[in-house]
Amino acid sequence: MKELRNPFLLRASEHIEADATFVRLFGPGALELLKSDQPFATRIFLSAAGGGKTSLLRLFTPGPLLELHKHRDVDDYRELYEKMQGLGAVDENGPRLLAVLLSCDRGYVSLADVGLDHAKQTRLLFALLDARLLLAALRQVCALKRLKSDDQLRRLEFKRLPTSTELPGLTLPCTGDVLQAWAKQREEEICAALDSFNPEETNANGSDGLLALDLLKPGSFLLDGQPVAEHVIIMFDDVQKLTSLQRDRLIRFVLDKRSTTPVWIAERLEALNRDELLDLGSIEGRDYERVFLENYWRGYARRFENVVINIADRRARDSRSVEISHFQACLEDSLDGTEWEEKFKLAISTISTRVRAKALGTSLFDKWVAERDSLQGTARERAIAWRTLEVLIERELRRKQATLGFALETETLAEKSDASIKAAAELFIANEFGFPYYFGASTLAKLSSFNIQQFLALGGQQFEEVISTVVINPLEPPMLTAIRQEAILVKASRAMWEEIPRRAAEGSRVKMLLESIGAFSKWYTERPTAPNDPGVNAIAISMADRDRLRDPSWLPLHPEHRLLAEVLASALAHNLLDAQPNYKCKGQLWLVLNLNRLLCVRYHLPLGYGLFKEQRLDELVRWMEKGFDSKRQAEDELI
Amino acid sequence: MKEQLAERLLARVMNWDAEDVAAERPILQAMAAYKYDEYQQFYPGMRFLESLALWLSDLTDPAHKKEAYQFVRKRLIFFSNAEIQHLVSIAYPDFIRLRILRRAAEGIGLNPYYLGQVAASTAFSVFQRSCLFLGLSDGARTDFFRRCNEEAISHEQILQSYEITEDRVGKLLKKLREDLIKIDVQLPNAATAQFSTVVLLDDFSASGTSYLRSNADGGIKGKIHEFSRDILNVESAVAKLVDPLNTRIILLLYIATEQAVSYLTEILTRFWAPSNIQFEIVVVHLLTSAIRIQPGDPLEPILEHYYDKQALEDEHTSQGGQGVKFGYAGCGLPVVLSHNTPNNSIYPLWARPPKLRALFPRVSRHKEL
Repeated sequence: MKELRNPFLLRASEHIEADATFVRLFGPGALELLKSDQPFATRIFLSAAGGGKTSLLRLFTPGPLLELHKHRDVDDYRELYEKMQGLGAVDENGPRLLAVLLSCDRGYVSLADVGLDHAKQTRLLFALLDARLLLAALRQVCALKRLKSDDQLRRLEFKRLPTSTELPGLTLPCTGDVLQAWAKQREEEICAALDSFNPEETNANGSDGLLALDLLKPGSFLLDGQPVAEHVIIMFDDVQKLTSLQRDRLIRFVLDKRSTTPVWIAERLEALNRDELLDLGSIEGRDYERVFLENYWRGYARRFENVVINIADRRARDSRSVEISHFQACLEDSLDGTEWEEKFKLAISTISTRVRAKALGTSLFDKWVAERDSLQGTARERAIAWRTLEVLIERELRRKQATLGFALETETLAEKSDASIKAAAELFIANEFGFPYYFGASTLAKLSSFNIQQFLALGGQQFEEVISTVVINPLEPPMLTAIRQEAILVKASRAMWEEIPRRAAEGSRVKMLLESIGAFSKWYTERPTAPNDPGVNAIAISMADRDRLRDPSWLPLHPEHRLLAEVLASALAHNLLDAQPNYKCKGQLWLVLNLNRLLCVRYHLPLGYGLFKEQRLDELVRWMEKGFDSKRQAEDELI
Repeated sequence: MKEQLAERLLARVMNWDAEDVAAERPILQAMAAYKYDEYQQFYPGMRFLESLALWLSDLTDPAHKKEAYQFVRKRLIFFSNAEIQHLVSIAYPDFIRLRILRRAAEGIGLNPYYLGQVAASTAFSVFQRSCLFLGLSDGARTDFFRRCNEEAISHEQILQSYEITEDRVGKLLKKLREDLIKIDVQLPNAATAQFSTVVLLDDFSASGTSYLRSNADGGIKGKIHEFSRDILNVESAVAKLVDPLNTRIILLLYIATEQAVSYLTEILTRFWAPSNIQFEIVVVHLLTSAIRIQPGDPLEPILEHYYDKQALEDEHTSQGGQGVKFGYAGCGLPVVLSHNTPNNSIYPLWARPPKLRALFPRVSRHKEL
């Protein structure tokens, strides 16, 4: 087997075959998502592709649980083991949970293609899911109890519980082999019906609902008379692969049933319809938990950063090309080194000359300029301080209210020089003088827009270059300069922009709208007074406007808004936009639409959240069709 | 050599920085793992990456290194063992069977597009059984060909060689006639039946000259000449296998260039026209002329600069009518086969030191004594 050069490239959980590798690379922080009194309650996990749903589900299946238990005393596994122990999935005696994982990526869609009416189709869907869930349960029990062959299924007893419902043609209790034969036959009957030329006349019996919810309970399976697990959970992955009718019926049944067997449903955002997408994030008050992964992490940005950096460390350690224990340490994260000093001094000279020219003819800023002249610190800090001063002077000069002509105090300068304006100044300096802006592990985490796959893709490109430096010079410490980090990120951003028309429905319009948001944000961010410091990287529409985009009586009268709704939904489904509904600002509620942070790189935008400007629907329609026009915007503002 | 050392050498030879290494290394490793490391003339410690690093280090001019590297990345065509086996596996069902179906349809007057009916006909079974497959070299992979087509073709229809002993001829005909009666007891002349189609199999042809060529003394040489001589010579045992006037001969090449097809079409037409032998050249994977490296190509300065007549030319290469700067017979191929590199490929791929070593060392058919 070839040695693993770049473990960051092992993206999807499905592609990491060995359970041991999977568990070793899993970042324990991702379990934060389950923080709750009832970790195994019914949940729907939603995210864009690569949000980490499948990895999360897989972690609870027998293979990873057994690996985790086996290595519980090994450093790399301990934290994860302890977290899983806290959730009740495993303890000193071994796994306590039987997770029955079923991917919906197995031809269920063909049920919709054979011309059956909806009722019959749904009944067959439930019957097929039941058969496959029972087969999956048998497989998982065998894995959990290390039963190597089908012969040993006879040792298993499938009990009849008070909640059990009758399965057609199967008498409970029965042994595992009898259950397996029954489930296989049931699956074959339904598949034969699908393959027949006249499925309407099939003899295969459907089912009114998922009987597995009543059948799969902690005491259902006994091995040599002992229950196989203390908890049972059913997991459906890739639910977006079902048709919308199938998905709707499945989710509705699971939620209506309120079974004591918890069910986890994982689906991509693209499964949601337009109205659901525009309603993302407004999920309070439901009687089940819907976890929108990117949205959740946005609320805990620092935790997410820790999670992905932990994942990065694990991946870096797994590389056979180089010995790295902390990925973060390979990324230059400061411009305070001597190699930048001259360039910053040049920037200080340019900015201070401009500042003095602006302050000429008034004594208003004398103390402020003197304060900056006497400032100590690194060249970078002083450059930022001068650029901050320039912004503040611009603001003062544009104030409509006349001042009394007294020199402004240095205390006022200190008060006004807050973190936001300094961040704006740093961005301005980077853009004007060509300093790198997007570098360091923290920035890398921000640029992933709370999507683990996006993080791994970006981290993988950076790691590739880190290990390349070792190839060239094995004696040098592996380190990626800030310039190279930014160059890689710029390239990745360009690739993401170019991919939009291929990736999203209404791709060209989505791209045009996003480019308009980017161009507008850049235009607004670069204003001399740095309003909304440190800048803008999002837009917002009022919740009332959002409601119009979902209103079936409004949309037929405003087809352009219907199209806008489609375009926004497409961008949201692909994580190109990230929605924050009900954002309180200026006495109103807003739907904030954040650009995916990687898209911001192209326009040199800041990466924080809450940096938006309000827009009207008609303006967005114009942007979507014709693009953003900065001249027109400036004229509008003058008017 | 350790792979990491080779990578370091490669980076130094190519004067790559970390960005270049990051861009190229994953691709090279993937190429090596996917195909190139399986080259049969490599050995432990000298696989693709090692060979590439040393090969590029022999080039003295940085511009040559860059051009040569781009050639490897973008233009080199390496046929892996799996790919060649795939070509062998589809040769009968996708190429020969269709021709037999067409011939059977003509014979029984059926629309040739009624494939199901034709395939179910006795005539098709008779034509299929009356087809003889002969290897022209060990590259024909008759063992694998036989296993791929077990359902359709019997063992007594496939021979490793076109040189057949008298004993074998007798057995082949006996078995053919027995089988034909099993297929159709009323088949007229079954007791005297001969093979109606002969398929000559080979793996690769670049120039076509090894099958048939004129000597300097005006004589004719080549494998097909030998085979043709046997079937046309009534004294020969092989001649009993077929009736040259009613037999169709198919030259089936798994890989061949347009140049070879054109050459063979022309020379076989001239060669077999007097005997009224019907033939067809069938190529499973055709290499078009667009892939050739010809005078004026960006690689030409490299071909000129490192050419070592003494090390590369001999009496065998002279039969190609020119030197081997663009490969034997000026074929100018960028082709490597998993077991060997044809000498029709440009010489840097299979060169011999001292001026330049080979990227894919070649085993020559003609041993130097």
